[in-house]
Amino acid sequence: MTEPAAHGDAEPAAPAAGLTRRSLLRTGAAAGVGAALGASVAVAADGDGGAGVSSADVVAFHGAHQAGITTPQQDRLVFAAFDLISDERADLEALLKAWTQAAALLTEGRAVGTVGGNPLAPPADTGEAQGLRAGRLTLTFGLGPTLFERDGTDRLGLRDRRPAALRPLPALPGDELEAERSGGDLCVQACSDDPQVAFHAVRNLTRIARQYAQLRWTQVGFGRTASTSRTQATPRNLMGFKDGTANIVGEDARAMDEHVWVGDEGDWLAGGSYLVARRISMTIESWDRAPLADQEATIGRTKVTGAPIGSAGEFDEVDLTAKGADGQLRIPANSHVAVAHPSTNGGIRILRRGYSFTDGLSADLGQLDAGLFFLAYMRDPKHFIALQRHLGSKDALNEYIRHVGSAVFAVPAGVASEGGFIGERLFA
Amino acid sequence: MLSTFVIGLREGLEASLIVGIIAAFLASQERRDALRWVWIGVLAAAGVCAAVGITLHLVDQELPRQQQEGLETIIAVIAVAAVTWMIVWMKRHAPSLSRELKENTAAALATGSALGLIGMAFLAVLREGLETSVFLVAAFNASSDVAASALGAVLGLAVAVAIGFGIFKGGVRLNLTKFFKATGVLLAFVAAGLLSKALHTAHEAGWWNGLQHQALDLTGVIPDGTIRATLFTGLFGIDPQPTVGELGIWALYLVPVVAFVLAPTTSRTVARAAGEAAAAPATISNRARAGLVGGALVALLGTGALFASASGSSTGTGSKEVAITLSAAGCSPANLELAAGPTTFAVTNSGTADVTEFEVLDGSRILVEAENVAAGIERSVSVTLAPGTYETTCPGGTTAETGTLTVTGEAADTGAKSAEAKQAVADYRTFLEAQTVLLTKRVGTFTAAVKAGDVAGAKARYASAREPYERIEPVAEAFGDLDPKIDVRINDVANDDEFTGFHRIERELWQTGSTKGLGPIADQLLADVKDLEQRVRTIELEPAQIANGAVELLGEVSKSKITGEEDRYSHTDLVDFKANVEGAEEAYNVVSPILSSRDTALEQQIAPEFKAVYAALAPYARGDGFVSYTELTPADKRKLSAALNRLAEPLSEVPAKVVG
Repeated sequence: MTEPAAHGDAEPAAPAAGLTRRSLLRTGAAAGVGAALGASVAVAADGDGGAGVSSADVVAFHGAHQAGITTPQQDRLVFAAFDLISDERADLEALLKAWTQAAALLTEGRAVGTVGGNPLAPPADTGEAQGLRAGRLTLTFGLGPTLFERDGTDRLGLRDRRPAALRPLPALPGDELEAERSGGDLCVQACSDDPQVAFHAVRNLTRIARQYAQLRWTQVGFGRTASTSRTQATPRNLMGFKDGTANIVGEDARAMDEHVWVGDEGDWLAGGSYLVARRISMTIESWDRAPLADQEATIGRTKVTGAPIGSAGEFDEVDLTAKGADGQLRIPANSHVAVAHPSTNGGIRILRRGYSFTDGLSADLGQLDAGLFFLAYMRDPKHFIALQRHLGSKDALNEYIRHVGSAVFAVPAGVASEGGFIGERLFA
Repeated sequence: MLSTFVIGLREGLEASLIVGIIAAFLASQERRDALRWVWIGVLAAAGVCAAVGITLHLVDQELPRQQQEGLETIIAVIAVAAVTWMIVWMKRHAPSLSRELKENTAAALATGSALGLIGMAFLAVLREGLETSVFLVAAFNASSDVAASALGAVLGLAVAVAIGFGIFKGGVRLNLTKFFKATGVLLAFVAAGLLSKALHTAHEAGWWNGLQHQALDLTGVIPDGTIRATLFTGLFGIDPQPTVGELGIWALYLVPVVAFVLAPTTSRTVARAAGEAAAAPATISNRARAGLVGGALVALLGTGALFASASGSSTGTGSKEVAITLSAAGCSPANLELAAGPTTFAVTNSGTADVTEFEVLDGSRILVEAENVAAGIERSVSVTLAPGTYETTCPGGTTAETGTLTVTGEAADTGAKSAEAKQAVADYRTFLEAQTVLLTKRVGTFTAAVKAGDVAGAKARYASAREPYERIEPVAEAFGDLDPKIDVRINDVANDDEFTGFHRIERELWQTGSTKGLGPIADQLLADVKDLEQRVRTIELEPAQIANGAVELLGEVSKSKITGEEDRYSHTDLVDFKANVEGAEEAYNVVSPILSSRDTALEQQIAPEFKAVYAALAPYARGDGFVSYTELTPADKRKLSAALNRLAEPLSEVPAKVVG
């Protein structure tokens, strides 16, 4: 982690005093020094991860909140949970500083160090993002409950700083959790429109972390299943239905403050949020054999249009009391839409930011290992707990899904400007 | 004999021409007294060359090629300046050098000028003589059946001298103006040729690498290696296959100088020349004397330095020797695959006169070459090869004139080693030797059990026989052919015949429970580990390579031990696992003194991780060995893998820190 500093001094947008890359090119050409020109171009290309970094392509890393929550949801995800291998608070602080520094570079489409360099040393940056754009990369960091207390021990001396709401999730209906896909001391959510950019970021953050933390589990998501902006169309999940129609959108500041951002009750976490991650496997083969009417009754929406059953448009009001000619509820009471509706959940709302995943074929059953990697941001994990208690027991969808992975993280507020680091207030 | 005759003629002709012309000139000027000094210059140069050749032979050294080429370049440039001066001087004075002026001229040709001419003779002989002497001494010392080769070379030289003597005699008889015209043109060719050769040697010295593509090819008219070609090259100063640069500089010099020589002399020139005749030579001669005496001094000092550096650079220790045989077809072998590092090519000739040279080219740059390798002569040339692809060429060969040399592995660091580095290398070498001795011993008892048909005994000894090998595996892998023979796995071979070594025996012991047919396999395995034991004694090592070996050992664990595929029949993978880590630890320990002075933080990071890996292995230890790898759960393997990664990550930073 000595390299990034060397590459963080030439902002493409606002060149520092001295030579910019372009003026260097001009000077070189004018002087007619072919060899020197080649060398300087090579250096410049090496130090700069992106072939063309345009502002539309870069999501600002610095801000009041961490990027990657209200950011219009990118198409691809690489998510990683880590275990801290040290029991020193200073190591955690050093890791967060190093990650912050690297994240500022990566989200601008830059490398975290040289890709060339010393022939005897492994390159500081792994290189697969060379020539790629920034791809709206966001890196969102979270702190797990086990950082504050693990097996009853105050391992880092941070127990008294633990936010009251940050506890491992309790056992919930529908849980079939696998320990190796659950939990974690730290997490990184890397979202980008380019999967290789997201992978590159997690891979290099993992290398940077090597002294302090090691990977616990990862999840790749290949397609978004939610919209976090009014500008985005509602995507479909692997069941073929539109998902996230009623999601909180980033532009809705009031809903964000009310349901997503942690307020003053969070102490050092104020301005942050809680992230719940659930790996939800779908029994795709069974679902695909279900008749259309059953599929629609399970979800509560029409498959093709996404409209609530009995309505014409996707965004039409969901009427949970409307009855059909047969006197039955049009939208069955155990349908997903009905069970998940805020009106049946005491007004609870969360910001969903999930992704479809597949990890190929499950080795034991020979079935597609695919489903929804559920990610949701909320002001308090109890909202998810309440929702899932309700859904897990009543949702007709449970016939086709299993929750196999689970984790919760406190997501600190953003880094306002250079010099700060993620979670800084925790150590204050 | 023909080939050495041609070599002798070629090397001697140029010097002979210059000396002959100087002598003729002096004689025609009634300065036969100065001739004595010319002979002294020639003899002095011949003496220097002979001394260099004989001494080099006595101490069994090669002339460092690049320095030799460099020195030849410098001498050639000085010689061109001298010859040019001579042409100009003659042109100016020849018309006025009539009988009437003879006495004045004789006076004008002051002692200084004579000294200059002597210096020129000295340089002319020295330039060609250095190389010839080494070659001749080697030829004379060769066994009796190749005495003919030596004789050929001497005859060639003698013919060259005879031609020079002929010019001397003929020149004396010609009148001065005619003599000047003839010799002026001839000298212009010789000097142009010298310039062209200077460019060639500058290229071989690594000073110049432009315009290297071939300009034309006259070998159809004048086949290379024949007397005709030699006379052509000697008289016209141009190679039958010149490069663009060589041809260009030759023409650039030759055309104006020949025009100058042949241009009619105007009366003004005559008058001025006549007027200057008395005064000018004194000044020119002073300058020339200074220049030529200085040049001779440079040459002498250069020769001394050359010799000193030849004595200092050893080609023997640690250098791989590769035998190359020249035949009418070309190089044998023409295609080579070598590991990077110091390499000596021992070039011999199977008896062809057409092919007498071996070169290794890096693009158009000559990396190393052995010239004048006639039948019965062995010439060794050394070079430190960096990884890459090169071309081998034996000019004149019919079917194998060129080939490809592929150099693999790590670039050797040729810089001076620190005391710490030397200590690290010495320590690791001790470890390597001890482990290979242990390997031979354990493989000996293991293969003895196999050959005795003792299946249980062989099985019991299998894992421990592998341990020393697994500790030094990256070194064994450096000898490309040995590792596959000793340690190949079933999925690495194309067919079962190639399945040899440890794992072949492992398969039979555990799968079929029989040692039937394993005798030759066991013998070969023992022979191979003995071979390894011998080979590690001369391996060249650098601290960075040793550290990289540690990284590679952990890579071995990640790739084939943690997956349980190394010992798929015996499931003794954990024994190999631990041995790999032990080997990595030893390699790390020998370089850690270097590391601790350069990166304390990294050193402190690594130290506990070796302990952590051993601690992670400890629960699976049983007696002298470990539990079967099949007993490990995925969670167990994951823990081991995590501990290994924590060690391997910081360890991967070490090679770059301990280099040099």
